[in-house]
Amino acid sequence: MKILFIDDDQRRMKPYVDELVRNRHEVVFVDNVDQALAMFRSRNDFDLVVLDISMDAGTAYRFEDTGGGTRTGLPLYDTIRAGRRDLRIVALTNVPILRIAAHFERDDDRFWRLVHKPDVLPRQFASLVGEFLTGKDGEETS
Amino acid sequence: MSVAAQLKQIEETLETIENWREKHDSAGDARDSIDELPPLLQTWDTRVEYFESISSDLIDVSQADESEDVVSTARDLKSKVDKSEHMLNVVVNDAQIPAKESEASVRYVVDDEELIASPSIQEGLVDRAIYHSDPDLRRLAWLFICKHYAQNPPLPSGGGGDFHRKFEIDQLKQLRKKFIAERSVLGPRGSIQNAAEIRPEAAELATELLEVLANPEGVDRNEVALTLGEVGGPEVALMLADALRAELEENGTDEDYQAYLASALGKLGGPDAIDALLRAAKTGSETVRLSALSGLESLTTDGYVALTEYPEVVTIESAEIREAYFYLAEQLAEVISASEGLPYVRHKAEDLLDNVRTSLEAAPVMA
Repeated sequence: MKILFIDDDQRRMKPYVDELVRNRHEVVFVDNVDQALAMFRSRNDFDLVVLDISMDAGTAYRFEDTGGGTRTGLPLYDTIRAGRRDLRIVALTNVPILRIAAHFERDDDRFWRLVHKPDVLPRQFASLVGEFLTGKDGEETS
Repeated sequence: MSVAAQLKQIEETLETIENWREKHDSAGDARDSIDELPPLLQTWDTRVEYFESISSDLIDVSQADESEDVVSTARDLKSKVDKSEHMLNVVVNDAQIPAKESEASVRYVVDDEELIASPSIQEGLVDRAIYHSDPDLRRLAWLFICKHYAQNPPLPSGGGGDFHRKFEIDQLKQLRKKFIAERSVLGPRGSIQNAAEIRPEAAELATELLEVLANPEGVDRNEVALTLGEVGGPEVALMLADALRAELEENGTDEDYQAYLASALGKLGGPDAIDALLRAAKTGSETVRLSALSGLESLTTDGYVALTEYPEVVTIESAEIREAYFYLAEQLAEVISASEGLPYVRHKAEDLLDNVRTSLEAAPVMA
């Protein structure tokens, strides 16, 4: 499966990307929102997006209220979602889930997951992504 | 080494770091006590290698032994590794840390309740906000300090020390009197397009006053804000604009401080000041809205209102200024819409809008 992985912390995310690749996913990693938007607009074949929440607002969201960049992933999620209603998106973040959950709960939960970075090691994360992609994570609504 | 021993060793290292922070949180001297940390943690490049090595070990351990206990311990320790590294990136004043890494760490600590309450972290944020060479990082750290004090207004008495005593109310008033006497006009030195230039002799003073605002326990920050309004400079304008925006976004309760910030921004001018003043005019308390509108009035009339108490029509001399006045007219219409139940605010905003429109009508058509 093709995965777009958006996170400004390439160094700490490398083991996660490596594990996804070991699980035979094709991963495109981008470390800023402007590049992420350009990539998303130039390709419509991604099966899943992994999205960090706390990132620099870049040019795209410079004038949005991103809480100093701590919530940049939320408007980016909205942009991606507006472009692909059925794209699976995993928000992988250090931000406590309760602080951002309401933003995602407006949408059909077949298409998003919230994952707190401290709760997953790379192998567990790759497994979670695999189950989400195949609909075997038991959280799908019909 | 057994898996259990390996995990124990990592846990002890992380505890050493945590204990170091807690000890120096109490003493308030973390920045000066870096040499108490293990040598590998004292500089950024060796610290990165060290934490990467631990993270890698933890991932390997969890994949070699997938028992629930081991995976769970490795996961918790990996989370502490990240937390320790981000904490040290903020507390340790190391010019080697790339600005992007520092920014990520600043964003990390502000979402961690334990870390953001740490005095060592707060000291690190002030240091980044005032002294770091990267303007984006300075602004980011400043924004979070402002948000913190919007949520937890400082006490006007207590704290401080010699540095703060330099900036007691009387001293600040004297400074302002001197600056005002040196001005060629009574109105603002800035305009709606450009922030006032910083007074050439006052660059160091601006830094010191911003540091006081970033660490405001025991000072009258209203006076500090007003004095910064006289000092000038685009960065001062940006930082005071961010301070006002943070107060509004966080529903800060210090209405006086917000009104003084608006008053200072009305002297400073420039796009950031205008943006913050318009936000304050739409969403502040009545006092803050009126103060923001006074600042906008002063900037849009080149200060004539301060001389005559009657806003005069200004001459629009370029297409850029004309565009800025059009934008202002649009925004003032929004201010009026947002002023339901506040008749004084509405009246003041309508007067200002009339003045802006009259200035626009009198302006020659420009290419």
